[in-house]
Amino acid sequence: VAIYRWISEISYVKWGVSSVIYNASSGNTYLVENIPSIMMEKYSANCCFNEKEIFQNYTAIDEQLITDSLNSFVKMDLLEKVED
Amino acid sequence: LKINNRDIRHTLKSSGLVLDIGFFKFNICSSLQSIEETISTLYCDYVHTEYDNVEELVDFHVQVRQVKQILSPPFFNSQAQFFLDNTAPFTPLPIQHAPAIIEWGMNWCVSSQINTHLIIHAAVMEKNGFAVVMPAPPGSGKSTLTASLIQEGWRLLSDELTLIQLDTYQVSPFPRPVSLKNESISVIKNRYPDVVFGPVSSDTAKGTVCHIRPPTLSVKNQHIDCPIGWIIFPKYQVDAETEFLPFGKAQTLMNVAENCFNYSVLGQLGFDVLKNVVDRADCYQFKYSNLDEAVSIFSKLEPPK
Repeated sequence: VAIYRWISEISYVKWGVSSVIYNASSGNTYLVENIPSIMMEKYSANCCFNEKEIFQNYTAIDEQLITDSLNSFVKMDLLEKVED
Repeated sequence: LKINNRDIRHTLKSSGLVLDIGFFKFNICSSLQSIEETISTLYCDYVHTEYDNVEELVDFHVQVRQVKQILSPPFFNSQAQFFLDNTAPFTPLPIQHAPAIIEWGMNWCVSSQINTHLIIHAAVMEKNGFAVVMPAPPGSGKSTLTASLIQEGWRLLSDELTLIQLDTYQVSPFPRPVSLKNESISVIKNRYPDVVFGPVSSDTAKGTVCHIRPPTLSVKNQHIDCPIGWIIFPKYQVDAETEFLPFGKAQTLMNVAENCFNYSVLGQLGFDVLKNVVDRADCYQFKYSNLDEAVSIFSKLEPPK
């Protein structure tokens, strides 16, 4: 099970299915679509969490969508994968 | 203390003429006749004072000087150059561009030096207590639309720079002459014959440039701030059918951020301000070719809920 750690300070705003994320560590701003709200709400700097925990707690959310969201966050330098 | 137009030349050539423009005070010095003409034609409604009689701090000391390039041949025409605090940030341009140089230079002063506001490259006007912000790249018809709307009762807050307060998210007016280019000049001349035009700058990098005097009432009310009601992205397209469509807030935030001068400088604060501004505003994209229809659509804008 992949374990992730938030590595950046972020702020975000969500309107409908679209979110805008501001990475305070890099100064970059991103527009992302269809990110589940829970992914953002779970945010806390330096907080670790594992993918399985999200799959189990939020069964209503498609697993592939969660995986895609996590991959997006890694690309945006918001998350790093601590271990697989 | 207000000085007469006939004294403008003398004042510009000596200690300078201080103009109150919105939030800022500019001290302007120049011995060029076209600058004198620009000031007396376009800035006659502003409070203007001799620098020697100003007691408050002046924000920007600017000059447009006639300069001659070293080693230039005798037949080489002299040029004009913009100075801020005796430093020249730009290369000289042909002297006939001086009226445009002073306007561009004053815009540059605010857009590059000021971080007390979030600054968007956008026109902004007010009606019925709410401001409409129009961010758009050059060629989108922003200034032509602005020039039309301010003749139709909208209050000009700025043609180029939307200054948003960091705590209240309201717009601080910075009403300046509206810049028109090329065909837009004749369009506005024909449509509104009473509009006062300043000196023309021909063959600039942007083509022919001419500024129009802001409405007297916009200058008089230049210290009245205004909340933002709408963010509209205009696009002029020849022969296009008029289209006025809602635009997603997330994409609006991204587009506005791209049009900001100091979003990245302000960092987290810039994002927070923009988030609040976009959240409170109604957002649209607007395509037009017919100015009558454009004016009509803007007159029907409902205040945001």
